[in-house]
Amino acid sequence: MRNKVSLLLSALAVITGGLLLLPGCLKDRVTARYKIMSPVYSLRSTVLANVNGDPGTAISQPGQIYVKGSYIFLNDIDRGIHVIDNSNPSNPVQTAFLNIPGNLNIGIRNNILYADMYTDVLSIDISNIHQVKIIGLLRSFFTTRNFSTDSNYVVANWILKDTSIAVVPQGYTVIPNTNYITYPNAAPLYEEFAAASSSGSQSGTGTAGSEAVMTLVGNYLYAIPEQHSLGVINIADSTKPKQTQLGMAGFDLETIFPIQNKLLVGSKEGVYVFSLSDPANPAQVGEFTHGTACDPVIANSNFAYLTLHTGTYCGAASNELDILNAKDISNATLIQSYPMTSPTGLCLDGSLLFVCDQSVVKVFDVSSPTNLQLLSSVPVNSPSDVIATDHVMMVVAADGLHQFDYTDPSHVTKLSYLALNNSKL
Amino acid sequence: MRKTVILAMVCVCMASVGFGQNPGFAKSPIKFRSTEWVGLSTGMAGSAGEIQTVNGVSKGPWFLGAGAGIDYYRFRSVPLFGSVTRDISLGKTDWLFLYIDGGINVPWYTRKVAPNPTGYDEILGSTFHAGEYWSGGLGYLWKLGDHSKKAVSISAGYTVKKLSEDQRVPTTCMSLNCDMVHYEYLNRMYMFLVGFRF
Repeated sequence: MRNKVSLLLSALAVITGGLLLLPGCLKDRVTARYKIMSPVYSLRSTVLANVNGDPGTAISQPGQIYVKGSYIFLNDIDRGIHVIDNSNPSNPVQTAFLNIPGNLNIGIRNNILYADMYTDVLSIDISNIHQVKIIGLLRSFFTTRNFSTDSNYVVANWILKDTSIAVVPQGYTVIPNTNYITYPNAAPLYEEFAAASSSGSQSGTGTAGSEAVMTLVGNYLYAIPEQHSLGVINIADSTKPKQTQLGMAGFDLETIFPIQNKLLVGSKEGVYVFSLSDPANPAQVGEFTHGTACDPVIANSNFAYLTLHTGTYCGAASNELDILNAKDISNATLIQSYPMTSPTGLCLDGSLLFVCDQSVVKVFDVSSPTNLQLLSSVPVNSPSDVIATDHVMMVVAADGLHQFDYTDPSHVTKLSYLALNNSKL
Repeated sequence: MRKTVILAMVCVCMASVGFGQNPGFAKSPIKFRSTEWVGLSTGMAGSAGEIQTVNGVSKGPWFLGAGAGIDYYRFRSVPLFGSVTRDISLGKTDWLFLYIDGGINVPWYTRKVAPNPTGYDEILGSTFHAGEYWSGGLGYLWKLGDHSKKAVSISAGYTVKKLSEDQRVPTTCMSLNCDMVHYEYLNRMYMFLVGFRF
């Protein structure tokens, strides 16, 4: 018996010793698969000459939305603008496509559409929407969106491809004192670049979504050309848009909204209020801070509404809808916060407030800001922004453009759906 | 890993030599058998605890069963596997055995994500997915009596466990769905276990 125990213990010791020495022979392996975007360049002159694209171009990734008259202008991120004839919201028709690579933003005054093309701002005559003309160009305004080292070329397209790399195993071990792990790089990696780097409707203009970073007031276009600056472009002569000012305006600016001859600029830290008493030189007159979060903001003459959401690098700690007293917008104060799931874009129509909240669009009665009444929750796949006007609610979602009738806000009914694959359902 | 699996299968096959010539095998009764294991997994990332339970039926020197465990190597996971074991007699109470296990490795690990991410070195979301699980090795068995089912055992083996993870990371990319990084983890370890069979 004693011999058996000795044998077992000896074997145990030998094996344990071996196991402690041998692990150096073993190599764990980690592979990471992520996406790389490779640019396809075209001559700038060629791109500008081919702005009139195929009306049937499929919607790839909907971005900002802008409504003017019976037309919806839907940004297709980095590809251009779909023009949708919405004379009959139950049957929207894609009637034109403006082929503008690098486009994210839209603004329209009278018959002139202003759009960004990477760093540039284009003035486009849309009198004939089927045969638009570029009539003006301002170069190098959106300074951080320069993806070309040769100013004669722009990135006309991106090729997206999966890439797998072997990661040094130590590379994914826990960072000391945290439970985080490292990863190869923020995805995607841009190849071959060193520098990879309801809204406010004014006279003659249309209606932009709450996520807009460009807005038109009078003879000026205001935009956020990079995260810390507010830029002003004089568009009195639309054929010669001229930058008049570019100044430090705050930190991590994201959205811009015109109200009461003022601009509300949403940032990760809060909302900055700028006076347009001198429209060529906006001056900051107020600020409302809320911690760190991404926050589109809208307002009417009495109240401002902004949403905060977590789960992004913006750093929000909560998901909520904040209502501010905006009678004196320069000294806005928080009236009430309401918990949300993951709110993003929002808009107002009279006493109705529409909020995109993860998988629904919520319709509130805001007659009493301290006692919001939820009238309905409309299911939509990841809505990002919404415009509601004339009883038609237009929702930009991950899967396309949805339209609903809210004549009875307690019973919102579906009108149409323009899917990414360009088919109507 | 494929080589390891093939090697383990060859070992089990070699151990079965003589199986067809054993006239007692057909008369051997089928018995329920359970073995509880505790031990260590050790590899590039260091050593981690491991517990397993393997249950099934034996007939003669052969055992076929199913097992489950908890493995703390690198990422905590739950291996669920089928197990084949061949005992080889050295004496009345002294036995060697060979085993091979194969199945899936189910993650039981939640990555801490940044509730307030402030930089591009933090993760916004993480989802782990199951992968393969393979193990094979050799052990020594000491039966606690000539005709007893009860036995103490030790074993040493080589284990491969796989997991994958989808991480959502901060990105400046505004086009397409490009904020996901997919990781495949292949962890290789030696496993040392002490068990009790009954």
